[in-house]
Amino acid sequence: MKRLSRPTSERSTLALLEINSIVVQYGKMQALHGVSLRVDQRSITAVIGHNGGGKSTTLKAIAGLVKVQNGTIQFKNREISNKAPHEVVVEGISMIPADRKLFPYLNVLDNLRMGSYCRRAWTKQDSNLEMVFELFPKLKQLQSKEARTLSGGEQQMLVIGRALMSEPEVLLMDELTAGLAPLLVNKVLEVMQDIRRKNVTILVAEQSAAKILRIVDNAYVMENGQIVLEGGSEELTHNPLVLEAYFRV
Amino acid sequence: MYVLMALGFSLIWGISGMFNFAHGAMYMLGAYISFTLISWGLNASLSIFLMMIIMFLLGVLIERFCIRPFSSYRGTPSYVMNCVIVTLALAIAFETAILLIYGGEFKTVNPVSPGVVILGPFQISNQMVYSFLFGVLSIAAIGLFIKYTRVGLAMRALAQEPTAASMMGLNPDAIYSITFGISSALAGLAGALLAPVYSIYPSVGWVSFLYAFIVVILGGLGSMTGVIAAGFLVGVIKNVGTIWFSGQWMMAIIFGALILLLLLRPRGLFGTRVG
Repeated sequence: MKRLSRPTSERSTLALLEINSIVVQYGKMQALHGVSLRVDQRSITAVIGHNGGGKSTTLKAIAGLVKVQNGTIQFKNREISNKAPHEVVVEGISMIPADRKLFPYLNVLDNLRMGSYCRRAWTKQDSNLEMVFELFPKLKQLQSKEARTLSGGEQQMLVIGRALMSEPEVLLMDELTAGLAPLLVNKVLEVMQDIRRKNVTILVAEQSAAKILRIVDNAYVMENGQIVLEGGSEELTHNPLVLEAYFRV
Repeated sequence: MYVLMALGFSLIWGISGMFNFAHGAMYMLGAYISFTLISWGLNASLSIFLMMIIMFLLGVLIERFCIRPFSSYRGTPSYVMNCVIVTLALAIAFETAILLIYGGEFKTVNPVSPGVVILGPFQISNQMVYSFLFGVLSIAAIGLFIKYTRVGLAMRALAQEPTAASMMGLNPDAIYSITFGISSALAGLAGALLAPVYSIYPSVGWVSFLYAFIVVILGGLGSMTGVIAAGFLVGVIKNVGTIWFSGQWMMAIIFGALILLLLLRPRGLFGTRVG
């Protein structure tokens, strides 16, 4: 693995989330061949790479949606690998999957309320709802509409809002900008920065490197189930390999 | 009363995705348990209430020990088959147990209060009124529970997107248990309320089970209001129909209507999903 950034030991902030050499297998197929990465508190970290490279799998492993055969996943220095998805949420990590998975027949309000299902967040439901409506005023208008009737962009807002309702410390975002119009993509990137200001750490998997690299603090490039490159946004944006492979949008 | 049975059945089908063949047995157990409690001198309403709690716990236990071990198969066709077999076995087991404990003869159950109420040209027994009120209140209570409480919301979410639900911090097993418990309590209630009308015997659950099945299909899987509406519809058709036709014909007519309806509207009257 090529490291372009300053060595890990020199970074002053504490790693909030740390993955060490995790191996994930789907039946006979090995998806992750020993992936290690770290996410610092209050940062936006990205995992970029072509589809099928293992970005989603990495996020799913953290969220407890796929089993990890080897390696460790540590959150705040606690081992959380292979915990059930609902336990991971209680720990403070929420995931927004690539296919959104909204509750289609529930209205916007109920979808949001479901977001704050875990006891810790349920008691603060009203204040969290206010916060989400402030971030996405349109959602307040659409409150009683069924989720399946919303447009793509509206669904995207809802899915982010729903994840925020659980008061996560870390937000995992899988391919959030896929299939979105450029205007909406910019809105999503803006929102991510707003979220970071609220002290939420973000780990995002993205196929389109160009836009995401503008706002990240740190990024990992992943191919074929392995990390091949790591660095800050400045370095990666000017790296010839990255430019060639990923900036041909 | 068909509504009660159907509601419980469709809850399990909609949320856990499995057929509970022991549902009829729940009806029967509810009838016998409240019968026993009453015969021990306990007040009728209290007995029924207590019975519902017992049935709820029984449902939770069944889910935990008989259904959950198969949960790794959830979503596959073999899961449904597994559950059918397990619940069928349970039903037979319960029936045999009751047979051994109580004997197989028909027992008549005394109505809560004898006497009738005159309502215009109709004479309605007090028992009917009592059952009706109790039933309607329970249905309303369940409806409110599903709509407004945290657990109710969880049940609805789990039915629609199980993966997403667990990503919200929901422990699916806990909800499945509760669902089973509620379903059993409702079936038991139906059994207890109808006991004075039909008298009880170990196999009494199967007819109700059949009706529950019909009502759920008629009302459409996945729709609470549909099930309620269909339940009332079936109840009305049955009761009104027996004025003109004899009992045997009734079943044939109801089935015929069902087939006709499904041909025209595969989703049932209010269904949101097919099958």
